[in-house]
Amino acid sequence: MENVCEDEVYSTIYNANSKTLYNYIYYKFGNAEKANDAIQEAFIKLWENCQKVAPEKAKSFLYTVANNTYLNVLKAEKVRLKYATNQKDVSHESPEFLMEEKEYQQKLDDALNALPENQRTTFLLNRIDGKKYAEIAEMEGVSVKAIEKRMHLALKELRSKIDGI
Amino acid sequence: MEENYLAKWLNNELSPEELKAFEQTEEYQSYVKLKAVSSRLQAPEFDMEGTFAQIKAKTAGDTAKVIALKPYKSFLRIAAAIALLMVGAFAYLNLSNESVSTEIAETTKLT
Repeated sequence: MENVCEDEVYSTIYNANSKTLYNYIYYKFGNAEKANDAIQEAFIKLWENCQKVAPEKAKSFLYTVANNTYLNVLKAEKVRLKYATNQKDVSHESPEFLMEEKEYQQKLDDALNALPENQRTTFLLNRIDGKKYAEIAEMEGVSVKAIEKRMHLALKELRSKIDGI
Repeated sequence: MEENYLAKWLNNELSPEELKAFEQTEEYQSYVKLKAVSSRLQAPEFDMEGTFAQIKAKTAGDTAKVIALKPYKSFLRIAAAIALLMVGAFAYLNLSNESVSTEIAETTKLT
């Protein structure tokens, strides 16, 4: 039987999950350094418990540990996220347009920072990481319906913040 | 309109009628823009290999703690070797059945 203690299995799990797990925690904390610490902690815990955790359970184990870290240590931190935008496809536009885009981007960043943590995480996992609602539901340990609700509220909230209503 | 219709719209799950109704609303264009811009968002760079190396270094640290016991272990080894020699010597000298006794002023040659 495959075992997480085997180097090969362990690094496969790492390669498959580390990037999304990192983003997931980053969306919650808004701090790249803390996100890095938290994923290291999650993977070290996985290593320490490699006898007990079956490979197919490793993913949910990682998210549980990461979530606990978030709840215990970093809840009080003020969120300050920044998201780069891929500008390639707008570079040929007029300066006015680019200016407007920049302004819009700033408003979007501010609105994202103001969102409740669970709505922001859901929204960004879908928009940046392209995760399906069902996958996000699994990570967060809630129903798909709850994720749809969060997504709906996030869109509504972002739109009203950006349009200044 | 249906519950959570914005989430459904983003996921292209609205029925044609619902979509038409949504397109008629005045906020529709705002949502289209939000959808377009948010699809270009990017998370910060994640140094996958570097972080893995750090994790490996930290988990290897656990084993290093065990290695710290080694000086004591080698001491045990030496002690065991000495004990073995002593037991061997004792057995050789005392447990052999051959006994030699001499009277006063008598000598015996052992071969």
